[in-house]
Amino acid sequence: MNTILSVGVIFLASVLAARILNKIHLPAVTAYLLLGVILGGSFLNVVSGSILAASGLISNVVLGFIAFSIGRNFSFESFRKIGSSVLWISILEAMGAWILVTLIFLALKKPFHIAILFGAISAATAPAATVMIIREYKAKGNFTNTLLGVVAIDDAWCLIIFAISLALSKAIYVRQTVSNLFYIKVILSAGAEIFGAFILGSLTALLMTKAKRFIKSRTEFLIYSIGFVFFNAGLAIGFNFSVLLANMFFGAVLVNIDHESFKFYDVISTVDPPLYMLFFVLAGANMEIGLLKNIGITGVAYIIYRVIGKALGSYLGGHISGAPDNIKKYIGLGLVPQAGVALGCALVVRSDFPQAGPVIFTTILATTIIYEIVGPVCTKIALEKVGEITRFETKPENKDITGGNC
Amino acid sequence: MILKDIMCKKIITVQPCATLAKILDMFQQFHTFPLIPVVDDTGIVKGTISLKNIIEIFEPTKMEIFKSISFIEHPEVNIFDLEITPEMKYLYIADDLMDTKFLSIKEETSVEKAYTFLQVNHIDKVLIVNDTKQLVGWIGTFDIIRTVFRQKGLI
Repeated sequence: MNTILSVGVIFLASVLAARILNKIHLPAVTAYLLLGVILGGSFLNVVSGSILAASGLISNVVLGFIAFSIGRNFSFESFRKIGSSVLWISILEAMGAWILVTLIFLALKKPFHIAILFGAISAATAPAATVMIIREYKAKGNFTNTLLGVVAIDDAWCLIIFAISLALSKAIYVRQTVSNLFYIKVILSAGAEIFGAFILGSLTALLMTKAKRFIKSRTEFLIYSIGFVFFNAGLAIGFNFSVLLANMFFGAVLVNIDHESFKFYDVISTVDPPLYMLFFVLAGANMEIGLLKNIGITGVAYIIYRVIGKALGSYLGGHISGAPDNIKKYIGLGLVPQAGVALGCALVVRSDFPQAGPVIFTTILATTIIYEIVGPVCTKIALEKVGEITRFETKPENKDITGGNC
Repeated sequence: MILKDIMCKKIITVQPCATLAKILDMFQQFHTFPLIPVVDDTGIVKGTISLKNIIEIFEPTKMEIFKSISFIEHPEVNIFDLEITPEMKYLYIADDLMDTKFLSIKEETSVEKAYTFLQVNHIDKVLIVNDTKQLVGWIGTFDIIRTVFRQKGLI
């Protein structure tokens, strides 16, 4: 099949796949992944070789856009609104999964540079699946609001954790001899990469804000906005900084220095859905079914201990922030889904570690499909346990309902 | 020519503590969808309220923070399926409803620049503020076109 026809088939089939899986209450992301697996080399083989060969490029571009969007969360206004419970729970559930999965993989005799990468990827969640369940069952209440806040911000922590872990992992992988001085060098190198990404992102944000006055039409504005996302990602690659962090800092600085920055995010969001769809379909198409047999205990351990890590971390976060008992007990269950950011990180690992990368990617892809099927069910159970999937009741607690003057 | 010369100075505003009931009363006086600025005691704009904001308040997953997430579909709110009770008109106030992400332009801006601003941002009208960010008026595409037509002797 020629490349253009292959793209056409992917686009049209993705609409159909999303509709079909929506009927059985699964998110579009799962539909795209499964579609990719079916269309890929392991089954129908209708995805052309040239598209598969461009997967790395497309993934980097999409990750640049994802990271830029996530940066938007880091506005001072957002942090004021989300509250301390969401902040503590989201930080500690991400770190809980990171630390526990890393330790378990070390116990399973995996090398440190592999274990820490699995740990870092396990920090991600899947907001789309969670939101879908909340919408579907019209869940409302304190638990729902906390869960929404946590899944909204969690991927941002994951990107930071992943960038630190990747820098450590690369340094350890390159130089296997270890000494105290070596650890100091590794930490300094990771710090320099993160600081460099921050400086680059900040400068790009500043330039984007200053130069926008020269834009004269809507079309120019769209091209200008997309151009800057590419520009920053490209410079990050050129300087050997983390693309994910550089674009996330770019988005984060932009949202805080330009009160009209929402225009940039909004205009980009009008064109990115096909890119995301292609990203997921290609992720599925890149899955090597033959490698599944090598996953075994690794995959099972990842699935179990990621959830335990998230549950323990969120319990601790809830405890520190004084959250109600039902939030502490059940919020971990609502954080089971895993999707886009985890896959994106796995794709980065796949390209940076040619030997271990394919197995890590296949493990994350296979577990993502499982999490995306089981995760929404877990979220629903959590919402039922706390009693927030009920019909709406009107109880105007502690509010003046006189509607008087200001 | 600058905006100060042609802007509309009659603006209907609400304060952040105005109830939904009061805002809905105001909306009923308009024939088209209005955009009501929310201003504090000093006249500084805090946000804007449109019909969209009023509908979205009943949809919890329309939180601002979710705009930053890439894989979420944002379906239109089904107004026939909203769970609304009469008491809600007193429970929500302008501060809960308003969109704090809004565009504004300064009163000294030239009319040509304001027209470009409206085109680039794909909007029909924009709030006009002074140097201390107090609301002083608003301008729409139609007002600018009318001014140009007047200058050319068309009207």
